[in-house]
Amino acid sequence: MKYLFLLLRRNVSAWQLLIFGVGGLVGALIVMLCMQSYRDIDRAYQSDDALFSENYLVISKPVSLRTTVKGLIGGQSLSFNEHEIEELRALPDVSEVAPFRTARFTVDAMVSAGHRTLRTEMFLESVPDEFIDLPLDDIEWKADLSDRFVPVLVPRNYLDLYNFGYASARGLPQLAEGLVGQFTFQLIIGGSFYHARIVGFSTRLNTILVPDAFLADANRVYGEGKDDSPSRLIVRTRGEEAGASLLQYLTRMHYVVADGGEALVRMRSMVYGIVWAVAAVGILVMLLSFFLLVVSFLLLIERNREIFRNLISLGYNQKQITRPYRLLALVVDVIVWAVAAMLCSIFYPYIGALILEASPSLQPAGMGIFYLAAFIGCLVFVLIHYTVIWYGVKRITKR
Amino acid sequence: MLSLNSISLDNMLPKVFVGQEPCGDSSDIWLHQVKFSRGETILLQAESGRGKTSLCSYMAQLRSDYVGQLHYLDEQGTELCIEPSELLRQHIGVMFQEHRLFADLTAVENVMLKNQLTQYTTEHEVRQQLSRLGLADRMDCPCSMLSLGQQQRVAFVRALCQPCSFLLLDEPVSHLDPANAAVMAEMVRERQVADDLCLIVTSVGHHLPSDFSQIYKL
Repeated sequence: MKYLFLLLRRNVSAWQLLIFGVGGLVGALIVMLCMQSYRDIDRAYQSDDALFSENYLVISKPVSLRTTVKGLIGGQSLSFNEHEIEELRALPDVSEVAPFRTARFTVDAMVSAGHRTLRTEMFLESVPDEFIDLPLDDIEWKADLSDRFVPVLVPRNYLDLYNFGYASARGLPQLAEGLVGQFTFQLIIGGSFYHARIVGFSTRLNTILVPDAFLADANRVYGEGKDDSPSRLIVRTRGEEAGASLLQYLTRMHYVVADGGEALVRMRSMVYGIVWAVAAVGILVMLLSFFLLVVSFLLLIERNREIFRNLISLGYNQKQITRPYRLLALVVDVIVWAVAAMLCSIFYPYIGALILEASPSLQPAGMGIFYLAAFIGCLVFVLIHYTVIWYGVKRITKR
Repeated sequence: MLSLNSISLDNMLPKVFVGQEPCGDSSDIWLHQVKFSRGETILLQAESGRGKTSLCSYMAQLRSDYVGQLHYLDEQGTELCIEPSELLRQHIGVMFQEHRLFADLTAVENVMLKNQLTQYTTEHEVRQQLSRLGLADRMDCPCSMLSLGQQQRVAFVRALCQPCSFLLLDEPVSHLDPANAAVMAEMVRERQVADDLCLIVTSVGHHLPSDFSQIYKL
């Protein structure tokens, strides 16, 4: 097929090939970066990053003068009833709802230092273990009424309040987290003494927490039969969906979201919006580049229309005529994708560094995806080009 | 291999002529039963626009915009079914009126492009044939730089560059001087003797100097 290739070589200029190659390279780079971005976003969804992963909101009912007065005279309660909890649970944005369990008995904390004893009334709450933002396997988060030991979690901002407020003002030493965990104190629950120790600090939950099973047992044994309805709920939202509709519901019900959770939800909605907008533009550009590649080859074929007709009149068949063009497409596609994969593996580490800077909990994906993308992309491009060449020539040479 | 012995035209008429003035009375071919067979030397004569080139294209299966029937027959008169590209490679050599050369290839390369398909001859022989037709100093020039007469001779050599039982020459000498036309006629005669082929030549008046066994008016 020497002369057929010669004919192709004389009819396809270096400029044409260069433009064709550069067009393909741009398309290939877009496809590969789109695939990589998709992987990064997917990893972000799987990660613990607050902006992408599932989110927790602590909600309560608003406290006002009216509710205070009504509470005093035994009227309206600020607690949630079963119906309200179920309604919340049924929302599409909500994956799980759990009540805060409150100690229904008096609790006193006591610290002895030398001859002095400090004693104060306090409260305890609990939530199911899966709502706690600490790796519970690493801490001793189990208690039994018979053990006489209770692990306690306190809000991190209690420690901050002491370290940066009280200790600074009074010239007292600031305490590290680990050091606080060394101190033990005593809890007096229903007249019984329990050893207690602060085992961790929670960012998510702004309360003094003990294990849920322990509090349930303690309420049963020491409880004073008060109303058991929760006044605070913890809501776990769905990672990818929680957004405006949940906020609308909470506003409509006049529920209060604690600790800036609302702002986070708004930000998440915004981030999702941006991510999907960028993805949509990426897909559009990718389709456009595919389209351009098809059109560029169709133009090449159209330009050689007379040549194909003459070759047919010499007795060449479609398979023979398209062979040099198919080979050209194969060579160009392989070179284009190999260069694209090379460029991506050179420049992606810089993008990876940016990702890491933006969100330290995310790790940029490896390079393997580029080679896989290059292989699949090359295969798809070759198939598209083969089809375009085959049907383009067939259309022209139809007798 | 299939052996094509004759081509039979059965009431054929280009579709473009359908509904126009009756052709049957003025033409010996259109809307008639005609059979061309090996060993014959046929001249199809007509003024422009009567379908000479169309008939060549129909016989070479390059076009099918006609009514009526076209049959390819072997020696026993059995109809042959030949794939179009095989027909053009093995059975029918065609020299097109518009030459259909590739402007970017040289004269030799144009012929060799065909020979690559048929493996009929060698480059040396091709050069000899081109030289015989007065193209010795032009055979390595791109065809875009050749005159129409020179291109016509290249197209002729290319048409010979295959085994065939029919050779269709569509106005082969329209741009040639009598001397070159005579050389072309001589080369055709040699080939006819060697292969016992059927030569079909079209002409608007200035035709190949051959001894035609039959002359048809289109």
